[in-house]
Amino acid sequence: MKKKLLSVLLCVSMLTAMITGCGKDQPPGNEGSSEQSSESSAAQEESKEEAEESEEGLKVEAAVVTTSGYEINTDLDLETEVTLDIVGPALFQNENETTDLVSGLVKPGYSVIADRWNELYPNVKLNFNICPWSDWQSSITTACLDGNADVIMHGATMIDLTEDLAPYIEADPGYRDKIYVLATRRTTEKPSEWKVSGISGYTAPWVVWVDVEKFKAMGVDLPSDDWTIEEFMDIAQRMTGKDPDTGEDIWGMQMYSSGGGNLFFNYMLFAYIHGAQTFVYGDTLADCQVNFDSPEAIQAFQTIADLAQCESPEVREGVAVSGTLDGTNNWAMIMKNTPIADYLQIKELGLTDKYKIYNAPVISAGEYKGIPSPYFGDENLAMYKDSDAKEWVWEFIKFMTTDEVATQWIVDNLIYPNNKEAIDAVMEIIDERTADVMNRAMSTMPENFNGSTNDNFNNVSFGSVTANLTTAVDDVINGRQTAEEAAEFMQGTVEEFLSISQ
Amino acid sequence: MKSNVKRWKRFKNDMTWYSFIIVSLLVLLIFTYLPTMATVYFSFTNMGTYGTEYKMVGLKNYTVLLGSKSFLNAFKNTILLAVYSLVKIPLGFLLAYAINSLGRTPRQTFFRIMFYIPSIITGVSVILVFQYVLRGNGGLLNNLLSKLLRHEVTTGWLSDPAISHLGVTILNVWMEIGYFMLMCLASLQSIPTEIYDAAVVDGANGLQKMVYITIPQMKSCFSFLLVTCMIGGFARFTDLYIIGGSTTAGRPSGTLQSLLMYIYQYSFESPQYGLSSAGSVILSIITLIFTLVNVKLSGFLKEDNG
Repeated sequence: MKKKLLSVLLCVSMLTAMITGCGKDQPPGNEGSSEQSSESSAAQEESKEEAEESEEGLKVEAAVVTTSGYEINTDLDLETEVTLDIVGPALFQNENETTDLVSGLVKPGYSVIADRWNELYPNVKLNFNICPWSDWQSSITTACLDGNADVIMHGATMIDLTEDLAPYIEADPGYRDKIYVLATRRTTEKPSEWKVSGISGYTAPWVVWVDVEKFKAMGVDLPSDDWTIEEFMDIAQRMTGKDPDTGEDIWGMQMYSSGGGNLFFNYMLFAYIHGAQTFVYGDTLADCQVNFDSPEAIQAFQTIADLAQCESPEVREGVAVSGTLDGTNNWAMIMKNTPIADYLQIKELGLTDKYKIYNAPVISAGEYKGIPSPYFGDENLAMYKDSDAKEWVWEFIKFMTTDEVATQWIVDNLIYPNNKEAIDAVMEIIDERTADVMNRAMSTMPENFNGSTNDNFNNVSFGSVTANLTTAVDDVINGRQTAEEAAEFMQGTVEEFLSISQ
Repeated sequence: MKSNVKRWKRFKNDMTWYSFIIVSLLVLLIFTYLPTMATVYFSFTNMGTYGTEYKMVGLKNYTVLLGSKSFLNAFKNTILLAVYSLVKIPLGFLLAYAINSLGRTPRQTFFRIMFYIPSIITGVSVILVFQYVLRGNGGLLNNLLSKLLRHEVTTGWLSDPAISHLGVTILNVWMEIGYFMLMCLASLQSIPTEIYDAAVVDGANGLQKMVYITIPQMKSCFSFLLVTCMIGGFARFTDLYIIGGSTTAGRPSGTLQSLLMYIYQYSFESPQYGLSSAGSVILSIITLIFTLVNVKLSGFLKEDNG
């Protein structure tokens, strides 16, 4: 009897965790919306099935890239056998075609690039040593120290390892005009100057997706294309409430990378809008000024605090947040930087009328007043400074950014090539508006802007700004710090780093 | 001549046995001791990215770290989380005691396997599932508590800085309790039954048997678990990194930033290898001190030798 009782007790303890799973997977207080949600989900499912039936899987129709920017370089030695070691994460993740398990979209592998390259340069073998994102910096460092690196994928931030590409660009007239942006960085040795540490292989500009149906339901007009931060904030606040028809909660905003590792970028985005200049660069680190406590910087933190009031509690908490445009969202606006993939997904789901894309709000003050707040993610290609085949590395970088097959391959991977001519090709798979928004974002990008070392963010020379800014932004979103406290915290951490490291 | 042959034979014989040790020693030397020594050396340099130029800066990296609020915060978090994780030892023991009481029956085998299963599930999957279980809004644990307590519970077990240590300890206990249970169970079953029989003759009850026989007999097991648990606690990284949204910031509010995460950010995110090497050396020293104190207090080595 005693043993049976003990068995029962052990069973109870084991089942406790499972019993928690019997609770509803919804915050208390949302009971009324469950029926609506399931109806909506069913509708989405139906439209998804229809879309699937009408298409050949989810494979994107091939667009024809018409770039003619790349020509075979006959000045190079086309006889000697050379092997180019390509190391790092990013673009070349898979050798062969893969299907994304979540979206169902099919993407070509890097064998396409290798084949094309060897058509042009049969004597130069490409050796892909691709590593996962989880340990990319250490993998790159190891490969470089072993002498097994020529092209460093996404290596621009590792400025100690990269060659300055400025002389190569100067020696190649016309190349700069073909691409949107350079992967420039400021160095710790001389922060006032730029180093072209790499070239972006593709770009991912910041955009805002708006849920048109929710705007209609709430009786709020859609924004203007040149919306200001005031309009942006006002709409976010007006769009937060209950849907008058369904009674469902609608949240005005989901900020960039909610629940993800790049939450800190929100500060940079709004700091630019308010005309803040958080970092003023001098010739040495000691000459640099850090202004996290300026009125504009505090205003940027305050904007984040105010927008956080328009986010759902789940999003503020940042645990298990979804940013998918699949029709089940409870936000009215979301800040993202994956426009092509997003557009293709909503197209496949038959939701193109539900979502509308916008540029970021325009900068309200300072040198860049009037342009959309600049930010783009990228995956870049850099040259290892001790490579034995620098001329071939430069040729490969040029090839990847201007050759028509390479550009086509990037488009087929549902990302936006760093190539001005590619916009025509992109427009064949996405709608004109999405293409225009991306083109506007990239065309107005300030010269030398990059996400790592700019006027409002620097993760190279000022200690652990990334981690600390993540803490500050997360705390402001969750009301654990006021805007002033966050500004003071950031100023303090950077000043502490500068004072003890000099 | 005869003695030379004899010596040669002896040497050959000895070499057979030494070869086993030499291989292990060489592996240890190349993959553990040399990198450790290199790390100590680099901790006195201003190396940025690993492998690039550097110069000696003396103790500067150590003074920088020990004067840094964020380093001291990471240090505090690491110690607290390591200490909290010790709860796995008594819990593992109680579980093992309960399972052992079932006797050598299929029921015991069943519970032994079932409680060990969480230990063989991939850590990342468990962490992702627990993010749903422990989240404040609509989390499964909060839903259960809301039903039991008959009022809405929205505790952010992983997102509220005040209790995030408790949240990650719950997760850690769930993941590793099976291992602690199994170790305790093995130790429990190795206690000679004659001692219990004698105690029964002397009129000892269940509690007295546990306090005066079982626990003292399991001292070496507890010592081993204490040392390994503390070392594991000092090396926490993956779960805290993922819970924080794949950042080394230690979200929420830096309360989950461990020393290893601090070291990682200066190794790779903002590469200052000299600084991260100094952090590694400090972490090693702390681990060594705690281990020595634990070993000394628990008499672990004495037990082993005895």
